[in-house]
Amino acid sequence: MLGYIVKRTLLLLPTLFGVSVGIFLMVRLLPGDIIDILLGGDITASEEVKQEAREQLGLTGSYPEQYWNWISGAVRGDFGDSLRNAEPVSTILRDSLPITLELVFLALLIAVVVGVPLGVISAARRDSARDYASRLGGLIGVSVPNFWLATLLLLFTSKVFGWVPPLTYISPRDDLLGNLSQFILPALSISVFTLAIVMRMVRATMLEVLGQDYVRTARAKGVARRRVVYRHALRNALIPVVTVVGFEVGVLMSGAAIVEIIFGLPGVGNQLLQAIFNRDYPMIQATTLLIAIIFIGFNLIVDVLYGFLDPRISAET
Amino acid sequence: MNPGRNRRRPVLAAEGVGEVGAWSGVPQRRRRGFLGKWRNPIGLVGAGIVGFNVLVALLGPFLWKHDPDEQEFDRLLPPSWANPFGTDELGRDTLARIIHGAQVSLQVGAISVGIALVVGTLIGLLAGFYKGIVDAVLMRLVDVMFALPGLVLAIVIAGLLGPNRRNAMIAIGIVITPAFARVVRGAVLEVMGYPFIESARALGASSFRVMGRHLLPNIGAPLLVLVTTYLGTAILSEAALSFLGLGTQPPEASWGGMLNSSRLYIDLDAWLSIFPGLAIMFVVLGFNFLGDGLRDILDPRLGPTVGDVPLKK
Amino acid sequence: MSDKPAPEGAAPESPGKGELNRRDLLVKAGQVGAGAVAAGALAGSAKAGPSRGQAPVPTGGRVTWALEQDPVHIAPFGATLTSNHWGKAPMYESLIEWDSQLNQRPALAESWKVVDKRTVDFTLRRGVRFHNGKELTAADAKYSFDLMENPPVPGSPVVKLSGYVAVESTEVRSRYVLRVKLKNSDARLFGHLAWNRYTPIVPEGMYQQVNAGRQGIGTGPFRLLEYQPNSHVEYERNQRYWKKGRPYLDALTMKVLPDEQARIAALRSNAIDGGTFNADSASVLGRDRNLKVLKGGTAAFRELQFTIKKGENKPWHDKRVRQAVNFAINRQEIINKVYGGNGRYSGHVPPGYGPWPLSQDELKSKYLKFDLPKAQALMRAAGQSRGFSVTLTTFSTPLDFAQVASVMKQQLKRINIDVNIVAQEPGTFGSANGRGAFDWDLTARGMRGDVDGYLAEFNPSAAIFNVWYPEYRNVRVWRLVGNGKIQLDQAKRIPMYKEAQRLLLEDLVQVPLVAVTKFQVVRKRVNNMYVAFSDFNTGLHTSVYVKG
Repeated sequence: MLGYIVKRTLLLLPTLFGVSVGIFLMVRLLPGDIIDILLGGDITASEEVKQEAREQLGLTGSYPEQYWNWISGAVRGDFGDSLRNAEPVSTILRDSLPITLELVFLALLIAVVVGVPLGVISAARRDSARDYASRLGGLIGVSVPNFWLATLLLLFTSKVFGWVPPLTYISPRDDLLGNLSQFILPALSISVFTLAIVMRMVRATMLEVLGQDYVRTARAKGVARRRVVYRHALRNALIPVVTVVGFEVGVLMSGAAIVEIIFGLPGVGNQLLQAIFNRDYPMIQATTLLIAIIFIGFNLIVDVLYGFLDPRISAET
Repeated sequence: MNPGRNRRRPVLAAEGVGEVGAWSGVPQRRRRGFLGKWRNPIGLVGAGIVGFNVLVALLGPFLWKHDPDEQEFDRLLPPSWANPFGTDELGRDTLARIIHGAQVSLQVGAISVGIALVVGTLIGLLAGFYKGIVDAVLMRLVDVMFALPGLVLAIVIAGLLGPNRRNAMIAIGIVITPAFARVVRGAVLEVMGYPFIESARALGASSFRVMGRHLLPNIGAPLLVLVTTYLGTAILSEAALSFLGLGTQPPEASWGGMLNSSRLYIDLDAWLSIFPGLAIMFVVLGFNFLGDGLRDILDPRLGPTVGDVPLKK
Repeated sequence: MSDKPAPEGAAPESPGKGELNRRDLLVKAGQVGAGAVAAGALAGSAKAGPSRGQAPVPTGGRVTWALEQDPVHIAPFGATLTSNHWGKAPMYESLIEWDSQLNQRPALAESWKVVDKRTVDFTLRRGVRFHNGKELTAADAKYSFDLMENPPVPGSPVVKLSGYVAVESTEVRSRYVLRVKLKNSDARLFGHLAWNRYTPIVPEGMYQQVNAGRQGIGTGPFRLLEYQPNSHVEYERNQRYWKKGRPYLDALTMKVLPDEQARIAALRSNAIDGGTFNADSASVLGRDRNLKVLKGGTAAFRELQFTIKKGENKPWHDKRVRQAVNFAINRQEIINKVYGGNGRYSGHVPPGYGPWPLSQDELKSKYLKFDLPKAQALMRAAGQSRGFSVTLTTFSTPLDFAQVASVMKQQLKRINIDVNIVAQEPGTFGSANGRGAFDWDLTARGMRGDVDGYLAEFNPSAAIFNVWYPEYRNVRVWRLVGNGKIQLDQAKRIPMYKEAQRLLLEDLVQVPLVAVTKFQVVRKRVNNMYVAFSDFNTGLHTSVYVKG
């Protein structure tokens, strides 16, 4: 088992390298550089002045050189300073990461807590009205853009209750209730898509497991149906849920951007999007790398979990 | 690290083709004819919705002759006989725009998923067939693509090639390609284990022939399901890109773009956002229903292993 | 900065002999060219709260204002974004300031003396303290002027003081006197200082003490507590502010809420006290009994711009084609469809900018008149009756750019010009615009410290001239623009700039479209807020008080 984990981790290195190169190049490929942004609307500068400014910002030198400077710093936890507000990027991320992590955690929690039972009911009562209702609900969930849902939720609470979530970030350590009241709507908005997927996945796996030999045997031996559903089928059905959750962490990290903007939360996705618009290279690079690492990390955890749940995998891989 | 592959394992490793019976009601369908397989009405409903959308896109402009870009009416009119879906913020007929948007959405879905289908299948096929170093390199590449946030990738592509629908479609296609590559690879690995592949090779079939004649047809089922799922996702992604001004360009109508600009008027004229919202929901729903139905027909056991790798902006 | 509209006579204008000073200063300063934007003519730009007679203004309380854009940074120098200034304005002041009517009046400089055409001595107000307790001296002013010329990052290093005013050097004459030397006589100095966008006075050595991108030390009515990017800016009252009794508020928070629907929801739920909205949202919010709508013109206007480069020989290089485009555009239709009927015609200088712009009548009846037959005739005369196809780039946000472009597209169809709109993310647009990498673009102009700021780009001495229209030639315009900035007699300047505008409206290398009316909606408890012509939120930190 340990060997398996070590092997999987080692396999990450080339991926991480590829990701970092990919990120570096993507950022350089963005049309319009920081100098153009710095110029804003008032353009009176000559090319010499621009070049001077580039040097001041450390944007000269060959790409390999710039890459090396970036990645060698990143390994030591130094991502440079934001080009837009001169704050160390690591400080900005330290402030914004908890916000997004909490948002993603809550969204996944909602997705699992609501999605799993719905999937179970749907599978256990296949082709019943309840099955169709939850499948329909699930599909609606997959087809609503989250920015639209967020807008509707805001409109609804402000019109009906005259209430919107608190506008400045409240740390859960200071005021847990305030924090939750702030996060519930955005978390709900981004959870719906994941919820629908979890539900569909649980349903499909359940159906499959319920059709398998050992389940039939159990049923034939007179084990109660309820017990079969919950003891055998559900346990197996949860395995793919772990995969989805691992995968969605990465997707939600950046997918939450638009919803974070709508709710005025300075999370990682929001910062990333603004950094892209401002061409804040160090900020884009660090944020994207962070999201990629979290994505890769969670998938590693999922892989390892799988190894525990199903020993055949480690043997094969 | 590699969910597409590993997720398949616990399920697929279990047994061969599913001749399972008993109370769950899954099995007997296989013995009926194709139409008989549509036991599940959801699949039929999905096919109906998709068919309706295609019809609207094709015939709509001939039946409802208003120009979707002409600002010929008063702004923000509620639905009436003259404008069944009302008019928008510049006085354009919303129904005409919804009809035009149907063309756009189907085009976005078809082309971006088409790109992912071709490229992803190629990568997955090569990786699964040759294994070893080819597999390792290709799959690391796919891992890298997977790990880069789709949104950033899309912005870079739109920025590089220019913000328009064609490039948005390319961007969406590239972003969902890794999902296709993984699923195809997993399916190929599975099929490779079947005896008929062994025999084909023993009979001297070339690699090319094995891939084309034996592997591809046998991974059709998961692919088809994947395609229907991602058609919906692609349409939603175009909406998200339009939200950021990277999708269809004004004044051309796309559902995503309409939904985005209508948000400003949600209070003043809710109709404006209701129609594109419903249209998106309707067509995504249709594709997903169709996918569910196909899944049940083609392989009742495929279950959750395909088609649920999400993409979201 | 007692930058408030007339009503509260109760509050002292400025301590000491400010008023007296000002009057005779203006006489002197007039020789050099103060009052650049100049008095009185700003009708409609400041319709603040109703007069409250002599009733004392209640002090205290907090206002939370929604910003529609993140400030990005709040560095005092080289801040190119309007939103930069929104974030930093409450804490920084310059030597001179504008009142709500854009009249210039002394701020940190108590008075100034024009020594000769190229030399001005500013005498600083005594006893003014920075937020860190340090007293303001001429050394601080010199330090600030030096940084205005070379703004450190994260300010834009290319926004140099010498790009706006021909300042040669500054010199500390005594503890309270700063001498500014000019390369040549320059009419733009005072306006540029009063604008305060690029000219705040900060304590000497500030950049070594704080991260100027997120912190700051000024003399302004509010002291910065915290700036969290993409979240909020938090200010508290400067207890030692040199204007007695000001500011009225104890605290001011600016919350970044880029999404208009989120701002609407927050305003309805009393989570914010006010913000900026589009015309349609404002009309909906106006129905709420607890809210009031403020509206006013600002310097922001939309403009269609061409490139005219050597060897390209595009159809619009022919002046008649540009004129045809101009006459085929129905500006009233744009105003009605995109701006809910609110907006004005604009020349190259926006309406409301002091005595400088051409009158609405002249624009409407002559230069910017919608005249389709004339446009068609011009196209025929230019041999373009069959029209052509062209790509128009514009901003993807805010949405009104794409909407104006869409309306224009339909209008230009009538003279057979097929416009393909490409709405770009702002960074991409800015880059292409700055490099001249476009055929047509739909862009925006905003506030300037001096009228020269609107016309300098039509003179070949401006770098951008050679990027956008190196092939454009009109010596009369060049001469007027070149002489206008060194003509110190304001009265003589006015006809020069008017003539230049008329010539430009014949040449039309840039086609001004419409000046946008800005809407701000506030809760009833917020008093004396007004829509500032400068597109800043000046009322927030100068005149606003809360009641109830």
